[in-house]
Amino acid sequence: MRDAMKNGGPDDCGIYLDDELPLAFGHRRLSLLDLSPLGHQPMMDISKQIVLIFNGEIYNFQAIKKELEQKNYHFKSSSDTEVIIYAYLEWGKDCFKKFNGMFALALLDKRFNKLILARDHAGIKPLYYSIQEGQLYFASEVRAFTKMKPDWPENKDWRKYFLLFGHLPEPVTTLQNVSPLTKGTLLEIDLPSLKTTPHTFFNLYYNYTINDREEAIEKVRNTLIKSVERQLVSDAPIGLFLSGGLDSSLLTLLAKPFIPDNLHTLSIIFENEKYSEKYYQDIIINKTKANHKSYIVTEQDFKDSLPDITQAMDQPSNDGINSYFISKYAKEYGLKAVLSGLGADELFGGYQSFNRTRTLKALRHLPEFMFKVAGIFPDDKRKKISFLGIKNGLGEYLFNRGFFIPSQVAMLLDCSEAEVNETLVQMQNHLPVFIEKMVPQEKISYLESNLYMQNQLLKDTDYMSMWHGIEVRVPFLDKELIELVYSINPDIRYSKDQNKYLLIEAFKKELPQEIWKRPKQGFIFPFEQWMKHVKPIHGFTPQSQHLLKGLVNGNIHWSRYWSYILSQQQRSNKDYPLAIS
Amino acid sequence: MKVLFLYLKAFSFTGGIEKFNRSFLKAIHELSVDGFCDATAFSSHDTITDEKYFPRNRFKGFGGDRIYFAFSSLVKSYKFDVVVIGHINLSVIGRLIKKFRPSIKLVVIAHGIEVWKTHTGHKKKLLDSADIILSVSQFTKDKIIEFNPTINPDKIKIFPNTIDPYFDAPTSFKKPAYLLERYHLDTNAQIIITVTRLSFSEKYKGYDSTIKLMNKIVEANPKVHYLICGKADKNESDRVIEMINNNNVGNEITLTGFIKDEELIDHYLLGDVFVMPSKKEGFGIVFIEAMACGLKVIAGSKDGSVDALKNGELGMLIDPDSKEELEVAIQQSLNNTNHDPLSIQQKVYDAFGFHRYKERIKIFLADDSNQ
Repeated sequence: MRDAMKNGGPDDCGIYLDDELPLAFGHRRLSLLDLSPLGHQPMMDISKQIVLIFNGEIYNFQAIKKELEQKNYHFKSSSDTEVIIYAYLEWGKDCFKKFNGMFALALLDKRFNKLILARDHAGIKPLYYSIQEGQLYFASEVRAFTKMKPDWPENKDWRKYFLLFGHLPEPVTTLQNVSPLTKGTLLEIDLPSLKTTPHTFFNLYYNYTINDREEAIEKVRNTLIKSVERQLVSDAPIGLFLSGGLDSSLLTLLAKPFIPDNLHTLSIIFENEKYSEKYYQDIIINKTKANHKSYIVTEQDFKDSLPDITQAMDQPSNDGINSYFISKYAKEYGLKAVLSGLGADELFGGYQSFNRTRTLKALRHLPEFMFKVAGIFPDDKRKKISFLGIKNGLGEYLFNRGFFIPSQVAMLLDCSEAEVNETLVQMQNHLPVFIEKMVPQEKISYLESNLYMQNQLLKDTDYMSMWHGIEVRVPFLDKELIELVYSINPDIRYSKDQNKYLLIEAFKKELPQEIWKRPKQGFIFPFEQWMKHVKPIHGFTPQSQHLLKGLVNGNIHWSRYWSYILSQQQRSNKDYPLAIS
Repeated sequence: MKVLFLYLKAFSFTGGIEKFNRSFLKAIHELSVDGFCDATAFSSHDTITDEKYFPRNRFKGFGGDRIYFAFSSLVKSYKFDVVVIGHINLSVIGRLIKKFRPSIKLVVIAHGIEVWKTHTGHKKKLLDSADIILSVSQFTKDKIIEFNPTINPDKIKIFPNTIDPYFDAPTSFKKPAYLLERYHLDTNAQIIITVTRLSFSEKYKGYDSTIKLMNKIVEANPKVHYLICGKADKNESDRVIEMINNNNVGNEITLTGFIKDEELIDHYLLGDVFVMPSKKEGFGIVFIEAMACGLKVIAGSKDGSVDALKNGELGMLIDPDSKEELEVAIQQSLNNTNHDPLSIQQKVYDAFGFHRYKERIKIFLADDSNQ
């Protein structure tokens, strides 16, 4: 199990066995803080009562360490891992409220025969677990479970979710009885009974304490600067992904004063000018005098890498190819950690979906039969109106971001539409009722953060970067920043006239106009062309043939074809079904 | 579980009941986010909500239009499983809701003196038909039973008040220099403090007794000063000043007048001992606020203060009619040098912190033993 995740932890490995309980911990290390063997894991306290394995970073560990030293704790290493152990000894489960970082960890408390699994406030680091028939397994990646038991049964519904959403929404995984731990929670597991008690240590309550625009701007500014400073702490080389968009440009500008002579940035460019963001990247590079490297990705690179890309995908996702390449090149660059602008769009309202709230409201008033017959529209956009037949946030999300509508999924998977609809009902139960009465933009922010970002962006970023042994840090998801932004009244947090208004206002001094005035463009690859040459290794099914035809004719988006091909994989074996013609 | 909270005021006035309502609103909102319930609030008098506590899209304020408020509450109550009546003055609405929909769980909050009497008419019927009565103290519960023997005591649950979740409990207990300067107080002065509204019609707060004792107290401890903080109405202000002058303690006592919210904690920090031998507190939120600021506390033993001080575990309880007991208690408090402010703060948060309050709401919402 441990070595299934070797790519993500190339620097060191360790194991801990406790025959009495019985219990085993395995750990692979990617070292960023205290590169010496003192940071070796599993790590124990001096009395050997606490055993910890930990993936991630605690950015405020220095401050916590100082507090603990004042309470007469002594430290051997300069790693954050040791701080977690003593913070737990001092504050118990409350210690997790103090951590600002990204983490997934398992902590054994031998004093009480208790195991604690915990995941950071924003679910940046993944943690999966399975408890059944008196056995507990947990790991950072789902692939570890099938390494352990190659015949681990598949979740029979994962393909439906995948084709509806384009990712697997939590708590769904490709395997039966394997679930992610909810972000901001810890699971207390009694040993050996495996009786579990969940505890939430971080939650957002949408209590708006900031109603003044100037105060909001000032605080966003100060908090983001602090977050960037915190996240640049590393004993190994660190850099930034620079796409040329607002978020990564801003992070680069903010990082400059903290690492003036050591600012490394990288980007991906394409042969075809149409996709190039070089113009915008150059503005920031010139302004910051960053050590920048651009890497060209060609169709040949794409073809050559496809088998590896599908191997790298711990869980299927229609996205992630971009993350694969950028992580690969960060590694080539010699970096060990990179900062990414992920999260800014969700927090500050950067997506088109934030501007569509009125349209959505109007469409909701269509007569009921329209939602039933919208599936007959030939184009995807109008087809998706049928999702609005689901009268809640899930319907709105799928209208904005959904892939195939239930009748298409049924056709692609050769099952009944009722079965597909049943999975949607299941998913509705995982969305809290309170979001239905949120301010419209706030609701969009909730859905984009908890569905799109959580299940797609964060997952892709993590497994693709880990595949290349790179750590991606996300300053926009800093705990202090999230808490701040969600305490700002939505009336001033969003503006109808300008996406990410508050963020731009906070950094107008630094941000060149060309950057914040440019139209929003995601991380675009020339996939439309490249994907046409991707073929399933086991030959075409009538469905894939139909989709490919649609792709060639320009009727469907490449990601639909791609997601269908991925859905045909057998997740429980190593076989990847792609070949290129 | 859909919950409707009907209340009078939370944001358009500041008093003990309003503070209770704010905490209640925030708690049911958080429980909604936690997925435990789905809460909506209607206020008869507020017009807007403070989104620090409760979101606008789940709130409706009727700004004093009681007819419209009553009508809307009645019509909308059909959508809810639980209706919480925030004050007995909303008895007519509570009664009607229960009459039209007997299956609804009706919860009534009893704060203090407003229920310490024999009720008749709608108020009696409301208390009789309520599934749960939340009483802010054991004392209030005993009073309800004493005056209204027809009510089943089992349905009266003790539901103490809490410290406002935004009450920024201090980590350092130093006396704020700017206030020492403002009130011309010596840095070494020992300060007795009372925080209350001074109302001519309510003569139960007990500051009269302390004023009258000041001569004796100063005799034993010359560096003692008494600070009475809070807005006074004209008649009461005149009466108190006259009393101070008659007792010749003008130099030993300061009336601060109205205290701004942002200066409240600093005023508590100014004090060494909080004294309020009141006789008619339903609970006495000021006691727990004072303790949250690390103060020693002296309160009366004949009202809800007993609950706020956890039967004397957190502070000293005295007979509010006994000057002797009050004097001894004040002298003892002033001479007690072993007081640990951090420990009292910890204890009061353990007993009455917002997390406990929220847990208690969860318990009564889930409780269907009386239905």
